[in-house]
Amino acid sequence: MDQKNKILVKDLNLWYGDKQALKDNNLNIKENRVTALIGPSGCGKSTFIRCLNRMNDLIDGVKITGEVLLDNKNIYDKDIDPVALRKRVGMVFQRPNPFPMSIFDNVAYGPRIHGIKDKTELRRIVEESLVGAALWGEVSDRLNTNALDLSGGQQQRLCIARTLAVKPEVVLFDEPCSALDPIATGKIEDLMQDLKKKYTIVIVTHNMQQAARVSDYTGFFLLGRLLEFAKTRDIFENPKKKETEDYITGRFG
Amino acid sequence: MTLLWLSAGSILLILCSIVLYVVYRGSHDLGVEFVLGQPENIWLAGGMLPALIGTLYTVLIALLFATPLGIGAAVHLTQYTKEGRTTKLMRIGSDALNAIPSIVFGLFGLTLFLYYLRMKPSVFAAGLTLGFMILPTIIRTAEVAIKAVPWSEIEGSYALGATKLQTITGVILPTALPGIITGVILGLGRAAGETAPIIWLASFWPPITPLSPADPFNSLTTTLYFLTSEAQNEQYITRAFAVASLLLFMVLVLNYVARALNNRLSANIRR
Repeated sequence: MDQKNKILVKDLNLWYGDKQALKDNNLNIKENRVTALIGPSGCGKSTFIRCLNRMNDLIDGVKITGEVLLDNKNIYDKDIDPVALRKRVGMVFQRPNPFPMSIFDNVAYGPRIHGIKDKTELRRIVEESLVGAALWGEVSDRLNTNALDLSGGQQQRLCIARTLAVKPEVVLFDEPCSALDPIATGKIEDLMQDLKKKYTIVIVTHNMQQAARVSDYTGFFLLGRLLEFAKTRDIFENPKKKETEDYITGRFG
Repeated sequence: MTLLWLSAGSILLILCSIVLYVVYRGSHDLGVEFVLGQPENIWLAGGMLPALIGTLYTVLIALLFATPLGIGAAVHLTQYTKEGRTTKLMRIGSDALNAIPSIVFGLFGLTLFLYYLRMKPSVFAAGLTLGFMILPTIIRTAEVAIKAVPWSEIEGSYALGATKLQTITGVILPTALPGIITGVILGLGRAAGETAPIIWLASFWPPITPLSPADPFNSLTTTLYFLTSEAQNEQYITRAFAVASLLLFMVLVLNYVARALNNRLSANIRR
């Protein structure tokens, strides 16, 4: 039973000024699956994931060619509004980046900017999102305290709740656990298994065990190219390319 | 080390001797009646209420004018323009504005409002003149505060599908608020203490309590100037020192209130 393609990437190239950071990348991302992107630092995996919700548009001097089809529609077409796109494709960042406001306001920020004003409705969305991010039990009695009082792991789950609150279809995780301890990391990894039932998930990680634990598909990036892409088990047990094997067996990286 | 102590000590000494001397010389007249009473006999008896109201009123107008304009300019400089010739020019302009002696602002206000716009000397004209003067301070501090907002927060807002304007009003300005308020405090202190910019726009005599912004007014600083320049006996000088004490006290209180506000706001935005 093959899953539907959510995102299709075709011949994607990216330049920062004169420097080419991504070269001819092609990739299928399946709906309701976790796709992990691994590779050594500077291989372009973070740059790649930021092409999927056009976050790279915010950086000066970036040039992109190729296509990224979300439900068969190229997100780089002229008639696509990147603001509307980012509502459909949410993102969780490397370092927890809660806004300096209350827990409630953090989660309600997205729904509010998209026009939801009704208080009962907002409260419902906030609770639902915090439950979805496995944080509700820890914060339900102090929604009005400042989000910066939470621990790093809680902050990151708050950022996940904040992303879920705008009801995205795809959630991108850019090394979400690199600033967290093993226990907090475990919680977020468990959470991903829940989240993939409702969302399509792409995660960039430099932690190979993490990719092996959480993902259904894995892509290996090296020097701006997607070198190998397959089911996670195949990549880890039977890599086709020598570079992939060298990387996952820890011979370089 | 001794040298550092010596310089720090002498600053404190100078400050204390000025404040103490001023308050001592004016102490004879100081009291509740002096602050809240109506003046009698050409400001020489009674209270300074009209001048106090005049000062607060003009400062309020100055802040109402300069704060939104200054924040707007800072947002434009940081968010809507690329670093380049235009921003450089705007920054040079704002720095130059900051360096202009306050009496020149006074001359400008006089020419613009009274000669060209044919307005009468009023709270409004004086407030705007003070507003021009404190504008660069507000722009510069707001700019620094906005630039200090972490990119990760801004990125977080965009990633939720926020537009640029929503990101500015929802994340950037609230986070930068304590810094912006600091700039407004600096401007406020300066506007309250200046005499030169409004010397041709205030009336010295008779005492007037301004109600509408179009009304003429007295200010503490211009009344102080009036009392000393017209001084005919010791009584004028004592009154002048009392006015100076009130002015010092008022700026101190305004600063304190603003600082407390700033602390409360930044307590919510700890980093």
